[in-house]
Amino acid sequence: MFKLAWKNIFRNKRRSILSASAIFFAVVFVSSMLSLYEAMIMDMQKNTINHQLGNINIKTKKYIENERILPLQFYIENVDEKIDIINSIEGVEGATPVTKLPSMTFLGDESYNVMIYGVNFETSRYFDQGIINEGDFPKEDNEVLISSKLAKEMNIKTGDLFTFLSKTAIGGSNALGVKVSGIYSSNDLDMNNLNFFISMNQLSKTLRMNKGATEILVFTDSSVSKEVVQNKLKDDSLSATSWKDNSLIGQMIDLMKVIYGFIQVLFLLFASTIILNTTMMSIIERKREIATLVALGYDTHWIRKLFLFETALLTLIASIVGSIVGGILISILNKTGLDMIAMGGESVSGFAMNSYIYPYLPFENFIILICLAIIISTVTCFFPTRRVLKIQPAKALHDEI
Amino acid sequence: MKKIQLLILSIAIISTNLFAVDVDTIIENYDNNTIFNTSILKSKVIIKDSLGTSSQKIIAYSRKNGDTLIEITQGPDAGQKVLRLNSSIFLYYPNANQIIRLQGAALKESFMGSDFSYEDLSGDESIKNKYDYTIVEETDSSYIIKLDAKSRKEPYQKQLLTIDKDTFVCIEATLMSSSGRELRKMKASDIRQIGNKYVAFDIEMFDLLKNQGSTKMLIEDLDVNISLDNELFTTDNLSW
Repeated sequence: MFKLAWKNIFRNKRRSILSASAIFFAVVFVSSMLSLYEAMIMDMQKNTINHQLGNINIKTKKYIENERILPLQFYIENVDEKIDIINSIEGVEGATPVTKLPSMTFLGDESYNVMIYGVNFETSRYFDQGIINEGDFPKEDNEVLISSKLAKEMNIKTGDLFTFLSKTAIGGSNALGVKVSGIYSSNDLDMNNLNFFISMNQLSKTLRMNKGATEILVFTDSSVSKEVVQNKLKDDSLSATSWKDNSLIGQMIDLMKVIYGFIQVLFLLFASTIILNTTMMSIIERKREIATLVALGYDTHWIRKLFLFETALLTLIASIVGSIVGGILISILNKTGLDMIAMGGESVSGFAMNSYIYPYLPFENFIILICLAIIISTVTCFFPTRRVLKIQPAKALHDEI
Repeated sequence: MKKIQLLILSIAIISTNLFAVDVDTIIENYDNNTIFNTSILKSKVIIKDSLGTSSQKIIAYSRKNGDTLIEITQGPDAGQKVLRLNSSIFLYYPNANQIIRLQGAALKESFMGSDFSYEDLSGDESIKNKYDYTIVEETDSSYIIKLDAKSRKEPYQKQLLTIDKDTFVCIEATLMSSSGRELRKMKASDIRQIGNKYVAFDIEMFDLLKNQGSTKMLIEDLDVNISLDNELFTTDNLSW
């Protein structure tokens, strides 16, 4: 059957090329889209975990209840002790304290609305995707690392001084004069806003938080659940939540997988309509040939299988070639990256997206795509090939004459 | 008969006018109580909200044109200072690099986390200059006066004041927006005589937009019309 199917594919080259092209382009398009999706999802997930919530996020219950008013007074006490406990759990890769809140900065007569992050520079993951454009990480408590956007907005550079003002945990306000130790840029769009970073200890002191923090980000492998962390901490005032529960992105990811799977199937289905048409035309044109085969004693079901096999073989070739081309395209984009800002990506700030996306697609996805293409096109051709079963040799040969 | 009725009516009107206190006088007496040439006020500020209670002590220096210097003398924010000069507020924090100037919308921010805004701090207290006023009601013990701002710059476009008849101190005030929405409520008690004026030593402010909580200011000491160095009311002095 293979030899016959192979021969039949090349009998009408034009029709075969048409059918194959549809599958080829569908596979190239779908693989490219999937690679973009994979990269975006991975980035969003990574950024959400590393820069926003951790795999597991710990806050006090009272803070969570009143979160919309940023109740600093409900900070986590004895943070260092709690981090030591968390780090002793098997599967935990690290834990870091964070306090983040909006504030105002002042330089001369100008004021700016900014976001402050109080962090432990050694254990935090905020700078995994960033580079220091100028200067260095803070070494003194009153030094800060600012985003390049903030530096541009305030027109300041390394070594310059400014003041920030914020509410405190006791309800009043406090201000601190700081010095710029360095300026950074990050691939994470959200980290490139008007932000600056200061040592956790200094911020806690300024906000009268007694060395506390508003949250702890815990980084884990998949074996550690929030229940394990909660039980180990043995503190009823605290609440451990998973990043997926806390994040819109976490909840969106599963839904997006379903949507992209559906889009994949849809595109292959569209491509398969071309094969459906060409198969129908082929059956009509080869009616005499089919009738002859039947007259010679070939089973109609076998002949039908032959047509389906031809479709499957054509789709296999086209999808392999499409996968190779798609793979080359993805490799090139993976090296150069896609500039999301140039493509209007800045408007999706807030979704933990990167400014540059490096598409990629694991090898197994290509295999799945090829199998899916073959299945969809073969199933699509199931219905037109039913005509083969209905062919009556005598009538068919008579009609041909 | 008609002539007698007219005569009785005239006598009634004249005698009413002879003994009634007109609204201008009420407001004048009220303003008189609130405006001093200079003053030094020491008080304790207690802030209550749904999440807890905190207190600090302040000392406030004021002069007649409304310029005020407030320093937090006790409490976690001790050392911080606020200077009001005309329509600007200057903030001094011991650990800041510069004096912070607040203008515009920033003046509506809360002072010390209390229910008083920076706008509420002193300023020219004279009602006569800023509001049109009418008596709405008179009870045995008080006058209820309605105020309408002359200028849109006033933070409270409408006010309803309950002024004690004996002391001409405002014992209750409702502060409203131009649409009549109630923004803040003030209650005053513990009225004492200082010289020829009367001052409430217990003032409680409620921020009606926040639903819960209040700020109480308990005056511990008040000196009026004493000599104050003009240097106190300068930004240079703030950092000393």
